[in-house]
Amino acid sequence: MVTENRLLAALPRELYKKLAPNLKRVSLKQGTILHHPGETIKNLYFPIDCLISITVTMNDGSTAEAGMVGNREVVGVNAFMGGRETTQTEYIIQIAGSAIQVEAQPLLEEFDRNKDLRDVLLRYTQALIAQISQTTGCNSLHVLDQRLARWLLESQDRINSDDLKLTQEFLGHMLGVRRAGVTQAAQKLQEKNLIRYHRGHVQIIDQQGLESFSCECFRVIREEYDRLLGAKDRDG
Amino acid sequence: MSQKTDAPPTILMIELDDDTRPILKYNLHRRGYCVVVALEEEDAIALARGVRDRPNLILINQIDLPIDDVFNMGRHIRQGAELPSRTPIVVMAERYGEDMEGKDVKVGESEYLTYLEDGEQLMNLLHRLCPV
Repeated sequence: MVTENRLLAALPRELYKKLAPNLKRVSLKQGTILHHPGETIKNLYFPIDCLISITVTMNDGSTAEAGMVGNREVVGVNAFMGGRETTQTEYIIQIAGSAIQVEAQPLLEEFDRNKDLRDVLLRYTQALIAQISQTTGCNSLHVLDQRLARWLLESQDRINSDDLKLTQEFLGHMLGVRRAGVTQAAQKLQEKNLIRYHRGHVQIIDQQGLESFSCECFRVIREEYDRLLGAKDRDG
Repeated sequence: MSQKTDAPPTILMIELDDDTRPILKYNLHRRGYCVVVALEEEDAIALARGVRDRPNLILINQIDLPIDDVFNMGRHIRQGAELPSRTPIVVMAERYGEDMEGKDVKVGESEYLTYLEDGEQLMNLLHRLCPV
């Protein structure tokens, strides 16, 4: 069971102690939107066991996911950049759980004077850019069943659980496809004995098989995250 | 005529969505169906008339059309292709709440509207109407 955010855990002990008074553990419900487009970021969130999607909504109301934030990541990198508003994106809780909330202002002050904190947050930002770039390519070039496989693996890797509570409708929004597409793609993965899907629950039953079936994007992003943020222990 | 008894049933599938079409076709094939794919009404009629094994069932994804229009399309195809009037038409609903998930609603003599909660539900309905 996950008990901490790995990005926070990577901070030097002294720095973590200094930030500790500003850190607050919060529970986040599925569907909660953390930041709306145009809002100045007041808080950052370091997920512990929840999963957050970065989504883009078009004028006609259709949505697609641009990136994911989980256990070794943070929501709100704009807070320590030049423009402190979120841009066109929303951050929505996809799988409920807990996170560490920190006010943007004290973190920004520390960011400006502490190289260790800057190094960790900028390395993460680089990993996030890599993830978003790969997602853009994946959404354009890869077929739906491969993308669904990749998406399930990305989610599993971020919450360290094989059981994902997700509806077809939600998956459709995340993948930017119609509900029937999700239904059929999930059916295909199920018939290959890679997952079990029933009424809003997805269970990954063959991790290796799902990785083989998925496009290369899951592996590419995982390698980039491991390179930038340190390899993750995936046995426990 | 005797050789036709061994032929798998044929489903005429009208699926406009590019993402869904190849996967749905794959899943139907895997369950033993022959699949004829069309993108629109006229195309579907021409294909249904032309194939050696006449379609045993018409399957349509609702996409953005009103439900009545989709069933009318199915009836036009059935009529235009001179298929038996009892040839089932199955429409997959596009938008619905959790309360409807898992339901198959019979809307006519041989017409069904399905609110899928998973892919198995569709396969069960097709198998009931058109056994392999």
